[in-house]
Amino acid sequence: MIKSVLIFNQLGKPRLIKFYEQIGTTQQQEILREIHALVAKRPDTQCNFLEGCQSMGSSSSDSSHRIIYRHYATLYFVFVVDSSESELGILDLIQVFVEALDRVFENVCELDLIFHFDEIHYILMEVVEAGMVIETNLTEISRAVNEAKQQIKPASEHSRL
Amino acid sequence: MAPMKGLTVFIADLRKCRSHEDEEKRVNKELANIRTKFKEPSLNGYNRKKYVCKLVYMALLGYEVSFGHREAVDLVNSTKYSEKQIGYLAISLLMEEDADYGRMVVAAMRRDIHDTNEFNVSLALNAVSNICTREIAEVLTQDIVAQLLSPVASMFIKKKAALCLLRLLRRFPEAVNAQQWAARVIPYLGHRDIGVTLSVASLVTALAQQFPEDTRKAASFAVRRLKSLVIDNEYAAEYIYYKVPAPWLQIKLLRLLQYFPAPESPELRSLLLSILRHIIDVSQDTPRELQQMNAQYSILFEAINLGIQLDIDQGLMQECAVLLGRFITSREINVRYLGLETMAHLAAYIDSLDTIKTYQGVIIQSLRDRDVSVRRRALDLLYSMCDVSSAKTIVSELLRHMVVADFTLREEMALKVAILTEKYATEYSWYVDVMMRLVSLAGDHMGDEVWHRIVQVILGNEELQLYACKIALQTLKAPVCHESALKVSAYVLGEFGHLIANAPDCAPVDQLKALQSKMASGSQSARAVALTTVGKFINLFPEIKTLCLRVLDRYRGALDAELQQRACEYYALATLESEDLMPTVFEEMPPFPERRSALMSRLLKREADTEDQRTWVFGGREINRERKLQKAGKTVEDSEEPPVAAVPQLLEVPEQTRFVADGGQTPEELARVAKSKRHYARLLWENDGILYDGDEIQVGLVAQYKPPAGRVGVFLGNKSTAPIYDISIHVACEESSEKQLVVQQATGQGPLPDSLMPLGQARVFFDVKCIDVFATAPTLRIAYTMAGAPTVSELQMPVTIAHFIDPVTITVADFFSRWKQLGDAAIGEAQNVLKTPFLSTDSGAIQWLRNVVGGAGFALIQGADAEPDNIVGVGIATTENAGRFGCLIRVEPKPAHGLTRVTIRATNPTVAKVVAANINMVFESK
Repeated sequence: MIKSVLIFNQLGKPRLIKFYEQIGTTQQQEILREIHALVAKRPDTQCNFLEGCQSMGSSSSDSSHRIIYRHYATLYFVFVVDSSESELGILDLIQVFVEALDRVFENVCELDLIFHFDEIHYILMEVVEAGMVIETNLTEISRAVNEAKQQIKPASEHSRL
Repeated sequence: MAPMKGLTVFIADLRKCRSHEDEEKRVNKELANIRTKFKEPSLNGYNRKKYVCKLVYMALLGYEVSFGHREAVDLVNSTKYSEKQIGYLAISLLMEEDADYGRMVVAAMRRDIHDTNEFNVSLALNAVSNICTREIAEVLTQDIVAQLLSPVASMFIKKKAALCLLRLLRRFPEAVNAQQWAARVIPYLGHRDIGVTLSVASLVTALAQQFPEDTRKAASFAVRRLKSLVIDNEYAAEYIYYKVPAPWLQIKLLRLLQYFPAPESPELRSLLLSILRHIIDVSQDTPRELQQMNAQYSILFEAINLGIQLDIDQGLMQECAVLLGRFITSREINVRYLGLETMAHLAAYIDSLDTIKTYQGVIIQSLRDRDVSVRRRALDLLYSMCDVSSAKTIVSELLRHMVVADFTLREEMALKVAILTEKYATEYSWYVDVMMRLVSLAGDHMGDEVWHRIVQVILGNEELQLYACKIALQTLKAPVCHESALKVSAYVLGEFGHLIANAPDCAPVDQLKALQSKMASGSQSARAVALTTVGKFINLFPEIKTLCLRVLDRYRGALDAELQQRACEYYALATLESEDLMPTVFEEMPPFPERRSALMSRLLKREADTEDQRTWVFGGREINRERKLQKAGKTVEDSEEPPVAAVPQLLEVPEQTRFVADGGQTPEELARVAKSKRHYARLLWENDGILYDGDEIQVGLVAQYKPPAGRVGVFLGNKSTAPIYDISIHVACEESSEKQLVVQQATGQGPLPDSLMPLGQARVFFDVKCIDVFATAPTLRIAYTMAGAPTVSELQMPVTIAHFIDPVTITVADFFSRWKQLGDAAIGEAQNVLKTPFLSTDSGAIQWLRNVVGGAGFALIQGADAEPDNIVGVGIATTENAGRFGCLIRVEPKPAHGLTRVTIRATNPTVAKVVAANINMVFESK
């Protein structure tokens, strides 16, 4: 199961924090900090898998939580998963998620994520639900996101009247 | 989304902040502003949305947001999609599960789940899987199941419903009644839409672990679906990911299959084999593009895992070993990492390690990889592939590496070295040497288990003791001696120092001096151990008593309470007039009873924490074999035995129970009795569960009835840390019921084991037969010996005449005529008005009542009663010799008064009485 999806920049500023289990804000920030510290020091030549996030619970070097991440330009995309997920599968899923962002925002950059922090959640919702991958087909993902946007249009125009 | 200007400005403001203090100031100002705005009655939807959105943003930045939930709920109730969307998002991110506004959301969720606009449905489903309270599980499960199974719902909704159910199932397995719908979900594995199949596969994977019997069909669906993807190439073009068709679905299905035994039908078997073969063949060529390689290999690794799990073809596995050998030398680091991991899995199962051993050099090299993740996997693999012949090389490599290994890795390394050395030691001296080096090298980074275990092993093996003493003394005499090494050495000399006392330079006084020289620099706990050794020396070597007393005397004034106490007590003992006490107190320790090593338990514990059960563990080829045998055994016995598969989880069930029999007076004991009563009550309407859960043992029950006969499996688990012996499990019927109920141990099962290790489990099946109506439940008597003390537990066994009731469906008219008939005849009627205060507080209570009546064996007659909440049911009890007895039940809940009237009319007074008593008990312990 995917326990958490995090996006943060090189300085560790959060751009998306999503946990699929109930965890308090303070602990969420702690986990973010710890993972940022672990990930940021690894050069891109090292593998995309890591373990040993202590604030995620359990003993040190607990083998049941894996951190799977990708580094794109200024941003880190991190999925924290348990041992029932395929590592490479998740790595691919990050790629799908990023490509989905790219389709919706047309050449996504960090600023898009900052000013549309809510929309990132809506896109993620179409890729992962309840900690499980739900859709991997880019066409279907962007269709769902865009059609949901259509729902807004009439309503928001209405609100301006 | 249409941008909200105020929000954009706010975010930009925060970005402009130069310091954290500035940011905090800006946030606090905004929080104050929002608080005021929320108090304005004229706040319109747009502004509410904007402010809630700001709160969500602040929470993202890590600020504690403790208000705004109510406004978020208002947004959820809005008819505008944009407001609803933000409302649900805010709730998902900000709300805590125990919050009281949860109740307000449930109604909105339910409404949205039934909305005609599928985007509203999608939002609600998503929110359910995010928030997921017990109430939601109880109220909404049926609606969500309906969406999943509905013929009209779109694929878009179905896939979300499936994952939503998965979340509910994991969170509240007892509230979702999964068995009622599990079987109907499985065919969706064959659905043409890959998104739906993918979600359903996740759901079925979880179901398969809980209800292996109900989901057995899933295996054949999964195999066929894989075939269509892998061999027949049937898929929509959009699901091709870098030339690989739907890799996620392939992985999911391959993983799902790992929870089932290998298919028995030869057709499926060969189909599965050809799928695996196909996947392996495709992977022989290295794809050029990185993404394609990732996808391709992720499938391959999962296929290998499945192949290993099913033990389907050893030849194929050897081929995999070669393929993996190529991967672990790959230049692509991710592939190297996963190659090592999968090889560790393979090594834990494969019959012959020869192929893997050819890569030993490479693997040892990987211990020095630049990347810590890779190093970790290499350690796992070395541990997994170690056997008698390679143990010495591997252990010495690990020890050599220990010095430079990462701190985070050392503890695990130490643990693994200790286990391997113990397991594969062929010479005593080697064991002692390695362990002493280990404690010296890794002392700071290992748990106490390691040195405890060394002492245990030495105590248990006489042949080891002499050599161990020599080494211990040597260790103490060395210039530097690590803390843990000091403890082991001190302990060993205290026990067996006399064995070397006649050797040169090993005289008692030398031993004491060596010990003293290291004591000063030792930690508090090490000095405590050493003090005990000094005490033991007094007993062992009377000739140095004065010297020893001097040491003790010095510590009598120690600042540390523990040291002081030990010194004072030992001193007093040694200077006592009576000379009998000393030898008794300081007698040589008896050998430790053999049991599962604490090291092993610790290692296994580290791997236990995941949503899905692990299908294998590193190393421990025996453990994996055992598991597999258990699994295989299960399927063979299937046909004649009740579903035993639920049992491996028995020990993990969090609820606690106690004896029914021991009714004490202390509050603690009263609580125990209440708990065990609850468990008993639960088994009155459910077939499997825990009957007793104590400190030492746990008893679980699995029952299956085919009135008038039935079979009840009793599972005994050892929860303690010591083995239990002389186990016997018997069932005795009350004298009054002896002739009416026959309980016999089922034939064709092996005898109970002589002993049960910690975490071990034993089981016995009993055949029960109802000859005539009986009034009292039989008694289950479990006897065992633990640590020399015999214990007998007597538990009331939930087998009553009511358990021999089968549901019967009759028409409403029939029901009423019989109800009247029985009422007039007045053969057997029992009526109780029971206190059921939960009716008004728990909105799922009515459903629960229905479950209870249904679970107790009655067919519920729909629409029979004018009052929709009333429940009427019909069942028939079957006995071997006395015939069958009809039984009608009517349950009338009155939430307003917190009362429920239960009326039972049966053609036999005892049946009515027992059923009434059972229902009474179930309600009481709700």
